[in-house]
Amino acid sequence: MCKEAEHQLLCPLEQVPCLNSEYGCPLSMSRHKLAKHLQVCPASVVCCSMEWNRWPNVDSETTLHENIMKETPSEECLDTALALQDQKVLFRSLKMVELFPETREATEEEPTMNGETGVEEMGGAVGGVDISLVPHGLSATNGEMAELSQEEREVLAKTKEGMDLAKFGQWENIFSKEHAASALTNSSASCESKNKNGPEKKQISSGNNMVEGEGAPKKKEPQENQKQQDVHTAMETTGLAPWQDGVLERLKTAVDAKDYNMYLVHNGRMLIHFGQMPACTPKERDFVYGKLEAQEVKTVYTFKVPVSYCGKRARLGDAMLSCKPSEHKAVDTSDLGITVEDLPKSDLIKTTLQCALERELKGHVISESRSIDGLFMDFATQTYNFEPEQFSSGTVLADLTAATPGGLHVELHSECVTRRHNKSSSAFTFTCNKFFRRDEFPLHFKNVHTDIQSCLNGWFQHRCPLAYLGCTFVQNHFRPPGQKAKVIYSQELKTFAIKPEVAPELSEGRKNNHLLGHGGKSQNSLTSLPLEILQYIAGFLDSVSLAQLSQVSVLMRNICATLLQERGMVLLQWKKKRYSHGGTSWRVHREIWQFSSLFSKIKSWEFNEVTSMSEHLKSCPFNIVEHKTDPILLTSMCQPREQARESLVSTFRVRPRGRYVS
Amino acid sequence: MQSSDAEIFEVDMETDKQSVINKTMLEDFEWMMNGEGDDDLVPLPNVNAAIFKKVRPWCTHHKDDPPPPQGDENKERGTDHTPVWDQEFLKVDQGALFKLILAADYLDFKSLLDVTYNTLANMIKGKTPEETDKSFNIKMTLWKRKKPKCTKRTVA
Repeated sequence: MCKEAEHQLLCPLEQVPCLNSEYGCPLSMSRHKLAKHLQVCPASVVCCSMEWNRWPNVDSETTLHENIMKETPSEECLDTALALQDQKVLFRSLKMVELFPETREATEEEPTMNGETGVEEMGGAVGGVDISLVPHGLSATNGEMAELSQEEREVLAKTKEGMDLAKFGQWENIFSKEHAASALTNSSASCESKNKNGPEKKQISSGNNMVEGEGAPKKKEPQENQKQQDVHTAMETTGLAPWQDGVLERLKTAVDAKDYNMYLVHNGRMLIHFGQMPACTPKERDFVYGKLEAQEVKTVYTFKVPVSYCGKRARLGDAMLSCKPSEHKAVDTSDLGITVEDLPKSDLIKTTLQCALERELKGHVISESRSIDGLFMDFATQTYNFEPEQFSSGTVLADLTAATPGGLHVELHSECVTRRHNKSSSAFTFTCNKFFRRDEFPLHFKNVHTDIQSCLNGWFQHRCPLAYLGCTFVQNHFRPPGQKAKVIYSQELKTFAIKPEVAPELSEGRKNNHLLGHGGKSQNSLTSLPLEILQYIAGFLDSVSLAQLSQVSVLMRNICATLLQERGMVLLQWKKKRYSHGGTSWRVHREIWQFSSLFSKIKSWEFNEVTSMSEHLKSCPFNIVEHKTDPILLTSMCQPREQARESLVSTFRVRPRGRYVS
Repeated sequence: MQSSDAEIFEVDMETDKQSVINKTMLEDFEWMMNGEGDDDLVPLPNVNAAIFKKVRPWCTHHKDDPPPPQGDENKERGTDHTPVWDQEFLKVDQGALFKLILAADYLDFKSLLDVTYNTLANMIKGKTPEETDKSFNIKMTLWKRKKPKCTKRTVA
């Protein structure tokens, strides 16, 4: 018996939970099966960190891009589909105000601190209920919470709804500290209003009342009431505000030495400011500074951080710039001959992309600060005129281009460079950032990034050699082995997928056919098949197809859910929680089960049956064949033969022999 | 054998041995009748005459095939290589395909089941929910796709 506990820790047949049980895996198994299970554990999730770079469109490819966008976007045109997806992501990430701060709306308010209220949980005081859940009768008036009556407290204490008594001890500890602190800070305000109003009036801070409104147990209330009464008594008979005369004398008699010292620590500055207590060493009695005459310290800012060295430093700027006043000087444009309003408008997309890249190199600033004689002078550099003259702080480029017809403003081909390489800083970087189960990741990386994405530039996919003139013809050279299928890029799924070719007959849905027989109408539907058969069929689907099928109907969702533990993965969704004392913490909100975007495993590729590119060139509209009929002189036939050929030797002049005689 | 719509078919043990049910039923029936006479009928309530006529050529063509291997339950099933004859055999409309699936399931034709399942799976692969709904005319409540709230920011 004494070895039983140790045996349970060692026995390979002991039933144990998965090592990833904290991350959502619900399975338990014998210990000796753990290693094998971890390879396919649904909680073993990895995020693909593949990166690739893409440049903005150069002028030489504008014709091709325009012709591509004129046609209906095809899911088989892989490089175009991927470029358009990357462009969408890029445009959603470019904030106009960050790139062009001079275009920020002047009347815009400061962005609120709680920008992520969608995922944040603003806990009430010390984790209690939110203020919005407090009954209407207790709504704030004049900025203060009305006090609960004893009957209301008892009613709230009886109702269990919204209470979390498990954390009561923790709240009690935090609340007692908050209460003491707020009592001291509110003492001055309550004392003043007491003088105005005359009769006793209990004024409790909103933070205290929220906790009380939560329904604190009755045994806590007498203690609170006693504390409040003590404070109110002190407030009524004495004034303890730092600006009131005689505050220190009153405080000495009212509180003990420890609280007196703490009061000095918290309010010492104000006491000195209002002359209630002298500074430690008055200036005229100070040994060192008593004989000195105060003068303003002058400094000369002649050292300027070189901005051309690093773009990041240019972004940070001079740390002292914000402290020193500056003078603005604009560039005189009167010599242009036109007014500022008549200046041509800049192309929004091109300018934004250019400035986004410039920011990486040297930083885009609307003015350069130069120090002259200790003063900062701002000289205006480059500004841009856009149609919408001002933007809100949250405006991104995608919002501004939503109304205009779509265009392709990034290059079709991309470059895959790892983080360990020195990649060009004039390109936009995109990341995959998709989640996969650990055993799925190698397949994803091989099939998607290695086989397809990195080979789009002429190997997996072939464009007409006259694409630089505008020809949009494209061929895919490879397909999955065996079945007739094609590789597509799905804009909805935002990933590559395999789409098998289906016989046209199978695409016909309801059709009167002799094979149906009697009663065929009611059974002519996918949903009429038994659940076991549907589940077995779902086992034939790849992960991305399961993810899509689960969104068709409730029945299909339930069918696919039965495969989640075998084929799916579980992710934790975290939520940030803020507390009234300013602290934050991240908590697991829930588990999310889902299928990854992996398509069927492809070990090898087969050549697609496509015609040769030369067949297309015969009929390519951009292949303009020139038939020369006039004879052309060869270069060797341009000069007459009588002329002596000049050689290196013949260029030297003949020198007279002998010594030079003047 | 007698189909659900009362049509009678003669079966050959050699040809129809692919079907486990056929084989089992006929063996039991033969044992019961001690091999005397063949006037009695084996009912097939879940298979109509048209489907049975469609299935018989399959049996004839695949009578010498080895039994299909049992795959790993956790892995994605499916065959990459569907023979041409099978592809031509399955060029029917959706209703007929579903009937074939039900008949193959009742008659326990493993090889026919795998091929029909694979064909149906190929009709679903690579399609968005809207395309699947339109293709199969499911006409049930479309599951509204909700984007999960992102708690971390992905930067291009």
